[in-house]
Amino acid sequence: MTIAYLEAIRLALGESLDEDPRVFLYGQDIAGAFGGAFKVTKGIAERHQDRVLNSPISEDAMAGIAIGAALEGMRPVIEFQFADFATIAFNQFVNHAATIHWRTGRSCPFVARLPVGGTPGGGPFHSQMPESWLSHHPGLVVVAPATVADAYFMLKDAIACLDPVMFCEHKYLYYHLKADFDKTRAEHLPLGAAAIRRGGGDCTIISYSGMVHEALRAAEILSRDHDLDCEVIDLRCLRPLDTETILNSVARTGRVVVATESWPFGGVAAEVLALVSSEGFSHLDAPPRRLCALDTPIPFHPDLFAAHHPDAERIADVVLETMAF
Amino acid sequence: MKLSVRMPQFGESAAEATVVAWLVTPGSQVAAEQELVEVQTEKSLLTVAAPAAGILAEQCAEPGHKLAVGDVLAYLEVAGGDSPVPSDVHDIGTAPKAKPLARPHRPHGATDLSSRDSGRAAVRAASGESAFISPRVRAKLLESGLKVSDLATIPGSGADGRITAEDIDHYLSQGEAMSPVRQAVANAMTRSWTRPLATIARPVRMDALLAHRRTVEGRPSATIYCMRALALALKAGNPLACRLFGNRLLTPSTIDLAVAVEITDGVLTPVVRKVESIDLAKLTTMVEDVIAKGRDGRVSDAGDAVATVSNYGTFGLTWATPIPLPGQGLILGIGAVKNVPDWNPATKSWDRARESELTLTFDHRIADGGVAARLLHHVAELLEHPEKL
Amino acid sequence: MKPQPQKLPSIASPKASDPASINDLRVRHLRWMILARALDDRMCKLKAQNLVPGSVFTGRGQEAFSAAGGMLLRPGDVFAPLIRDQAGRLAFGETIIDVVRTCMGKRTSSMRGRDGNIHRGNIDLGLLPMISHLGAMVSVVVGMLMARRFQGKLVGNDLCVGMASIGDGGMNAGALHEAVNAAAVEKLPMVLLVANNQVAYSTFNDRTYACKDLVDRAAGYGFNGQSCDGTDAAACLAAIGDAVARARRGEGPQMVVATLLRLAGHGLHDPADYITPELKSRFGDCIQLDSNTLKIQGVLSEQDIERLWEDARTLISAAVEQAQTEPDPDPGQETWNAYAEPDLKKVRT
Repeated sequence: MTIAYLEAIRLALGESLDEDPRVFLYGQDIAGAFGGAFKVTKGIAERHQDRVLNSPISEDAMAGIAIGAALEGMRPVIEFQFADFATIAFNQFVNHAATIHWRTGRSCPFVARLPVGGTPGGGPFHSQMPESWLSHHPGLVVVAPATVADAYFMLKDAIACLDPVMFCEHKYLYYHLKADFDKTRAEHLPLGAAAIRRGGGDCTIISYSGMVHEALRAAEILSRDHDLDCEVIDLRCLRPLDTETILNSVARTGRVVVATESWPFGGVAAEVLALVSSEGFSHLDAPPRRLCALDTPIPFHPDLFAAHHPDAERIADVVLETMAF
Repeated sequence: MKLSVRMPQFGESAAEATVVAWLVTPGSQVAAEQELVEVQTEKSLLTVAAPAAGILAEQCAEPGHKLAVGDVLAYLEVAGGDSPVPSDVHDIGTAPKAKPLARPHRPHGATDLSSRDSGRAAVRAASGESAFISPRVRAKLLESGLKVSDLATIPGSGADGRITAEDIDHYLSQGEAMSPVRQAVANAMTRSWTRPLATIARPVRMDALLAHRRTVEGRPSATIYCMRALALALKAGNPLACRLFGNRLLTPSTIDLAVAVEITDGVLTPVVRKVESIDLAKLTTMVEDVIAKGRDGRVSDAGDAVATVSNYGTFGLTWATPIPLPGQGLILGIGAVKNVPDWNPATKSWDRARESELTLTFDHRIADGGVAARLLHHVAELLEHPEKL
Repeated sequence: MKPQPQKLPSIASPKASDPASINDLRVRHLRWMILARALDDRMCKLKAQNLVPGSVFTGRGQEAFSAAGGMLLRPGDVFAPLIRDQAGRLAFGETIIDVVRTCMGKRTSSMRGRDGNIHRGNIDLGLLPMISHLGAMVSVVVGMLMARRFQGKLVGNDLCVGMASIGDGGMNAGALHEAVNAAAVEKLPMVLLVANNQVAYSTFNDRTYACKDLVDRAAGYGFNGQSCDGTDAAACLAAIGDAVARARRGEGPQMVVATLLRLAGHGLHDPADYITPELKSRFGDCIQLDSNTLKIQGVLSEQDIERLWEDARTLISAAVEQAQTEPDPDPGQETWNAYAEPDLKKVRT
């Protein structure tokens, strides 16, 4: 059956509510027939009226409530309308949720669903990628599914995870990414594992979330036009990082390009490059490279927006530069 | 096909050389080994010759220009692709990874060091202006034991003729793998060499010994006499009759000796136990027996013997410094017998005498030169009086 | 001089009409106040002896309000204390030894030296280990109460209660506003204790809020609000007792605002010279006032009160003595792991 990325999330939420009485959903506009700003909870909200609750516009309280309910044995899933608004909950995430296990030995299992990433016309406050600032803090698990199967499996695994999980779901993929999905057959990797989406020996392209699809397209271009065989890694889980898969791949290829939709400074791409440079230095044939969004707030106009973040052609260019080194 | 001519490694320390004058103009036909260019190193003026016959396609450096060892000096256009390529040139025409940039640089790279030129310049500057060696290649060098200077002799298939890890693998794959025996000897010698070893030597008169051996059943060789003499000298209480473990000196109750035997691609050191209590005739048959077993691969290790005897005289050598096995503190060597003049005061004339060199290499942690000298003198004294053996 | 209470408080208790029972309650109340004050005093001394890392934050002057809150809770309730709630914590069930251990950063403490002093807690007991951003604790109490409702535990007319403490400073944190609003929306049995001690660190009320009285906000949030004199032990018992009883009956969230004065610096490092003598003269010390009242009313003798102090000091000395023999955390033994999941690469449903 062909379903969209958003439908996979809805499926995972609905099944979780059906199967586990500890699960409840809390967020703005998610209840009733309305079903959320992106309609993720449409249908399931009506089925589970007692456990799908609208919240006030109070992101800090949403996160704090999730923490409290998790400590009392529930498995809360809170929905942020846009990941950009999670800044309001920053304190609860990084000072509270992230520190509870370290301080008390108790686990704090909840999922914060964060619709991330840019869409044309989204502008500075509806397009951001929060994974870098969230992953800076030990104690938070940060994941970013890129495929329909991962949207489903990773959400279910995130709900099962004992730690607070920041679930970065890409808004553009919501309806644009559709795939044949059969949960009994689809590949289901563990939550913390990176996936090799395409094997190759010439250069490793590392990416996550929506950018994985650009990386795969770049690998196609490079194969078709330049006879290059690139390995594409989808990180899936950004914190903690699957360092083994990254280093093993770079050991095979000797070259690495990291492509993200995020800003460059102190980001996940920087972290991957630091890992490769310090722990995989002797694998390298060329300087590890990153390709990130431009270092400005996210622009509104579609043309500016298109120029702001990497695409397949730009990734291919950087891979060629790396190969020519 | 295009071949590169690279700056050779002139001596171990040279990192670079300056182009002085081109002896051939671009477009000229050159013969193999024809002198192409004069270069000046810190030490001397030298010439670089063509690796193959062809046409000088390009001079890559002007007079006065300094090039690192391994940098491209010139390109030769040579005929065909199947002529053997000398090892110090490479074929850039088939370099699989040298791809032209398909598109101009984009602003995205500007957030990183991604400008092709600035990125590469930064790396070159950091690596001291010499040809770039990637971290991967550097790790490969360390692993293989090759030195940076060896790279000049390896054809590079990477971008701009750069040497890749695969090129090194390919280069090394052309060599022959060490046999397991050779590998074992190499490992043992390396371990042994980590200790402070000293060698002392003195001549020993062999006339009496050579006469004596005719009287003994089996005509024992010089090796047998040396083993016996060393066993008795060690048993007499010499401090070198011990083995060192950490900071503990252990003196074995019996003198077990190994004997060095050459086999195909290596050396065996089978052991004879209690040499101090075995007479020469018996020892002769026992040594023959252990050597035969050793050659059949039935005797493994000599690690627990206290010393080894090596008769390098069988190779016609008069003097050598064998290395003691890792677990042993000394090795006694004996050279080939040679004739020496011997002044006979009775006849007032020179007589012929026969002599060998005895060498003793020992672990200087166990004992000092005096102790070793006394042991060697004792051994020599016994060999000169074979009836005592 | 404050007026003495004219009548015994009418606290909501099955035995509220029994004077002996009420007197027993008031003696226990004074006992928690004295124990907290003696413990605060001892912690200050330990700090002077350099046996306590970090600062020491005392609840001096706020014991009556705090102890009343802790006492009126019962096992199964939730308490998110304020940094000055030593009295309430003890009354709710915190042990003296854990206070001493945690302040010393001992490996044996509930926080294992990973966190210390006032950030201690025991989630199993319902005593939340605060983060420094006190406003953020309130929504956690809301979440815990919501969880209990999902679990079917918030039924009947004798509900468990979630109590959160905040000060005049914390009342202005955005997080507090969000949490209090959410509690009201969910009509939860929450009691918000607001200890208005006149200063947020060194900033007085006139620069931290502009409504006439903080209790005015209760109506705005949809809370039932009441005020009390925070230096009057009986008044504190009465007000909080009423609020807790209402919450238990299902009347929704309650706010109790106490007026009192912090009788110490923000922490031990703060001499608090910004508190003027004039301001000081307007507030009494709740422990002295309550001791006097109980003596005048014949509930306790001078010797009885002295005994309470001695008992408190003896208990504390024993705890300090024990804690001092206990091990410090060992960096070599630490797991240095912030995650509950031992291996994310094994998380797969």
